[in-house]
Amino acid sequence: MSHAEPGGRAGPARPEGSVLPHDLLVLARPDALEPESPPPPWAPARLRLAPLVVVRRAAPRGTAIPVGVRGAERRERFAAWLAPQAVAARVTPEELARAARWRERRSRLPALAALDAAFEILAATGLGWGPVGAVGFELASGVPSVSATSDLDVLVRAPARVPAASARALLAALAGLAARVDVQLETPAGGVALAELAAEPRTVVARTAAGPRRVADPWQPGAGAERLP
Amino acid sequence: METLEFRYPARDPVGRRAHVGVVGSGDLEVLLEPSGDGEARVRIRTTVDGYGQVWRNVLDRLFSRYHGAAAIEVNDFGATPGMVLLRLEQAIEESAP
Repeated sequence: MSHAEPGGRAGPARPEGSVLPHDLLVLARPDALEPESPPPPWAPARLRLAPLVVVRRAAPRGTAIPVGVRGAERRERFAAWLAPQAVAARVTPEELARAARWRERRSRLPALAALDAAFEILAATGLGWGPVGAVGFELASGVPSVSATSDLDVLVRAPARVPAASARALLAALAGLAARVDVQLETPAGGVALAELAAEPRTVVARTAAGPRRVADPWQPGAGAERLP
Repeated sequence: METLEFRYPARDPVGRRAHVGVVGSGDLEVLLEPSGDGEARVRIRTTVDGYGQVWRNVLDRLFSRYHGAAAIEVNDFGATPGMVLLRLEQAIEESAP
């Protein structure tokens, strides 16, 4: 268990100039962040090395964007807010997939080595997709972030229904890769794990700006699940 | 990595085995099955140490309104308390006949 709620706003649509959960934002100034709590000791050096933050899933606060700072260690995460005018550039997961910078310098780390095969399988779905997590951060920043045990975290845009049979087929195709591939579908109800959809439980958990929610059907927003009495 | 165990009195039978959740950062897996006696037992393996009291609070809340004689195994990968409660509720729902 942990305290921080990772991620960002739900929904696959991308209005012009907007930011979505998992987008990476380049800071215009090192002091642009408004921390939620006093910054941990590792944060300033890390931000000098890579002035890049990840858009989180959180309820909006005026125009400020909820972001997270990734440290070198798994437990090093730090929540902050960023004014839109302090964003120098935005890098989306889809842009990282299209740029395919992992082809320029081959890595033996499984999560990076799996990208070529994952690219073929995910491109064939016709859906928008891109690497997130440690792999996305390393591709965008050039700062080593992937470890030997890192998963390949992938975001897939799923504005229209992905049937459970298709989810199972995609999961099976990705199962043979060099690294474990952790796919999150961005549905109208929020972020849903591909593995969960494939298992067809009565309800699935969707990650939303207001926290996780159980929903009967992520493509029928409003079809909420009954809570226990 | 830490392992925690909790016990609660129970009175209701559990319908069937249920397995929900996923292995992945910020998420957890829950395996729920009949405990075979009048007790609920929860065994938690978590990648994040030092949250024993938070786990107890979440489970106290759950078992104040759920009385199934369940043996529950949790594999946690740094989920928030909100996510943990949802997954436990989901497992209970799936275990209903």
